[in-house]
Amino acid sequence: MLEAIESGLVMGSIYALLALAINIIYSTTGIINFAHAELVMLGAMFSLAIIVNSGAPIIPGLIIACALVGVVALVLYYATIKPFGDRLGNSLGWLMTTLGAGIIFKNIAQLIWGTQPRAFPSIGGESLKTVLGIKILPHDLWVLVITLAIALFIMALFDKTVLGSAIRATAHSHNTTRLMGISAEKIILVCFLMSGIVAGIAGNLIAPITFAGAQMTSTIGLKGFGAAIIGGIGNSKGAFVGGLLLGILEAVSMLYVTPGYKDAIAFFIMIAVISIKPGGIFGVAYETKV
Amino acid sequence: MWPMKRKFNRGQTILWMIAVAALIGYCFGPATGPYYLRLLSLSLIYLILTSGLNIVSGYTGQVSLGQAGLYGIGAYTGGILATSLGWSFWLCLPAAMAVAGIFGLLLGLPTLRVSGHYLALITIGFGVIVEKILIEWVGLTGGPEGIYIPGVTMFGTPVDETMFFYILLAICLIVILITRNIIHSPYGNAFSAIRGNETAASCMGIGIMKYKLLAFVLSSVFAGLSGCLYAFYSTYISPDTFVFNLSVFFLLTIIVGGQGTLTGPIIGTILLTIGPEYLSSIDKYRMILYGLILIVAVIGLPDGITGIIRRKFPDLITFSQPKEICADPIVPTHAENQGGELLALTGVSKEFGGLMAIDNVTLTLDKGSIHSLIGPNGAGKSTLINLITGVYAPNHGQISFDNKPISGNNPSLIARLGIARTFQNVQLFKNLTVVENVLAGTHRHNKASLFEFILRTKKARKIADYSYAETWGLFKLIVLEAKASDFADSLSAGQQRLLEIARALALKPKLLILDEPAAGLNEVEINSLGRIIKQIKDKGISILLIEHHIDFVMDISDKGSVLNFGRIIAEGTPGEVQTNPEVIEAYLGKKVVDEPC
Repeated sequence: MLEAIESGLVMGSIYALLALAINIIYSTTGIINFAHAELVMLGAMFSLAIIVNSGAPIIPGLIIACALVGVVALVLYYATIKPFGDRLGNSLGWLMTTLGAGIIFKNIAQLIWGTQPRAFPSIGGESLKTVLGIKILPHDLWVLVITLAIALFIMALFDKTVLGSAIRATAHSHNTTRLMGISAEKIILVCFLMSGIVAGIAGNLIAPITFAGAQMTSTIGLKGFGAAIIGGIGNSKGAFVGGLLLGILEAVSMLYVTPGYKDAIAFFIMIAVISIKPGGIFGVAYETKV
Repeated sequence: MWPMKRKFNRGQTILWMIAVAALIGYCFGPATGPYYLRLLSLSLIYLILTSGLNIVSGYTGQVSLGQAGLYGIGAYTGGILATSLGWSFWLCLPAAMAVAGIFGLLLGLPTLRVSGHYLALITIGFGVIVEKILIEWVGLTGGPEGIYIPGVTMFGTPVDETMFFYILLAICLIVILITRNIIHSPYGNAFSAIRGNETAASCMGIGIMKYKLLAFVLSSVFAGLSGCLYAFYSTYISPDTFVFNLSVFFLLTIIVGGQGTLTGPIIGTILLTIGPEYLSSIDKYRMILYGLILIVAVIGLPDGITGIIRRKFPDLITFSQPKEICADPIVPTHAENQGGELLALTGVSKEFGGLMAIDNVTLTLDKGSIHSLIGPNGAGKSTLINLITGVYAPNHGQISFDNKPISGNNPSLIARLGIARTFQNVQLFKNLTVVENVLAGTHRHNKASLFEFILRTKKARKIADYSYAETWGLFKLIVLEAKASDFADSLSAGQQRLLEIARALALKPKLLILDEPAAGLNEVEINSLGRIIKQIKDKGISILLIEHHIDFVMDISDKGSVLNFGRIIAEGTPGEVQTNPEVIEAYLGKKVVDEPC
């Protein structure tokens, strides 16, 4: 049971990391980036190409890889979101375009790096460490710590800084933000960049667990959306808690059913939460004005 | 709901000829050789599914990305029944439709609470769950190995590929016909109205949940049929066919073709099933190209290919005047609408957060009268109307209509009792034409079932023709016949307000609530509005009027109430209200010093 919770916490942190980055974009544009999972995958593949294959030093290599994902996220914005202009909120067109971008990323990665998943070095080696009486891989610990740090950083950024209030203002109304002298476009670009960088970091944390390959995030990505929804989309605290909750519930349920049903259970939890409390566990319901 | 006979104009003739040519082309399908015959068959199977998907996603606006799951359920229902129980193809088809329909109902249930991207995620989740169960439940589904299904026999002889193709073509044509009959019925009109504006639809007496669930079930039944046909056609099914990407493909076909149009799925499905085969030389880049099409099509063709066609032939949708126009579309209600109270509010309160928007309001409205509600901006007038029509539920107090309590009911129920309204910010169905907007108001009087409209029974046709004639009668009243085939958002602000009144009148209400009908109207339009309101009143319909043009209000009301800060501060005849010191204070402020005369 304890081990299940521990592995659930690790996977949960990863879902949370995805959900946090999905939220950053949601909170300014009101859209869910369905290509996010592929950005995460690209993070891992860039690192693999830069560090493992080209032999660049680790820390600068990681920074370059994550920055590259940020740049890809900006391209994604220009190609799939910006063309909608003010029509963005009216339809789910963005859903299809970001999905399309995801398909393109995945298949380009497959063309370059092939279909075979590859091993990916983990942080802190393979030897088990004992923390509080539980045997744990150092990498798993790093996943937890880094996720927590990023979550705290994003929460502080949104709630305590001028940039954060500009982001929240943009979320509310692009036009009003423009009238206040803030370039809504710049704010959105910053958010896409941040989301991309966080995706890159997530990719490097996931790859040692799942192996690196074009398909590595196919279902993990969907669970990132699930985590964001469960916690209440647009809410950083919710994304963090939602991710951990989803990870733990999923891991604990594995004690009772065969592992093949893992994804089915995760999505069942997601559907149940949306149906019962659409705003998520941290969501607030407003009456719509007529 | 459309008139049953119509003449074709030039654009319509050209398009019909293309359609007939395509059908004849399909009839010669088997001549193309086994490879292309297979593709053509597959496009027919997909077309059945996408026609259904078009009902739920295109017309009703509820995006479903779980269609591959329903398709899989249909295929496995057919496959399992045929292999384990030895059922024949012809028995498996209805069974697959029924099972998929039940799952569609389950999938549709969350729409009671959510829509938009939440719904998209729910349907994605549903698809993944189905896919995993198909893989894991080896005992039932055969797991990753899949199921081999015996071939189809008809009258004791096995059906070959060519024969099967014609069976598919026949079923496909029936499905398209059924879809057409559904869409051109009050049910189709309700679906489109929901996509256009849920609040307005519900205030027109359209039960949102009922129609959303119906749309989900219909699309699932079609998906189940399509899946079962696929199972018997390919004689082998395995879980890796029914994946998320297939759901994306289905949605893409209706987006490329044109959502919410009858021909959209046909064009999109044929194009996207057969088109990519010409790209097989660059197989490696096929998925990348597919992703690019997805982006370019959605951004470049927001209305799909049918959108381009419509722009090319703007008179493609033309509603012709019916032979008989209802001379008197407003039914006189003197007999049942005389004396006593029609609407009574007792101690009604509504809070938003800490704000008391409506504070202990008691109000009665007499049958057959025009009652005006005036008050400064932010006084709570529109909130009061939203409480009466069920858009909001009151925190305290009782509202009764015709001596029946109505507070707490949903808007469509209240509308069906006979309360019709207009909105302060015009809430028309912008995706519908002027005619269809008014037809949406006639829902309360549709007494025929969906099956009667699918089969076009005499009763259904009579109802449709009658509603149509009535609609044109209302156009005569508001002088808008010339614009009948235009989209509602192309009208001027004044015309939009009048159209909203016509739509409300189509309900044949006992009580008509007008929320600032004269806002944004010029002097001439205000005069004709006054004429229309008097005409309505002469028929015995009670009116609750919110208005700022005091002259206009005083001219036509029998009684007035003044609302300020959520409370009624004065009530009485127009003269009494006008001289009430509290009212003067609310509008003009307190007099500090008396001016010397």
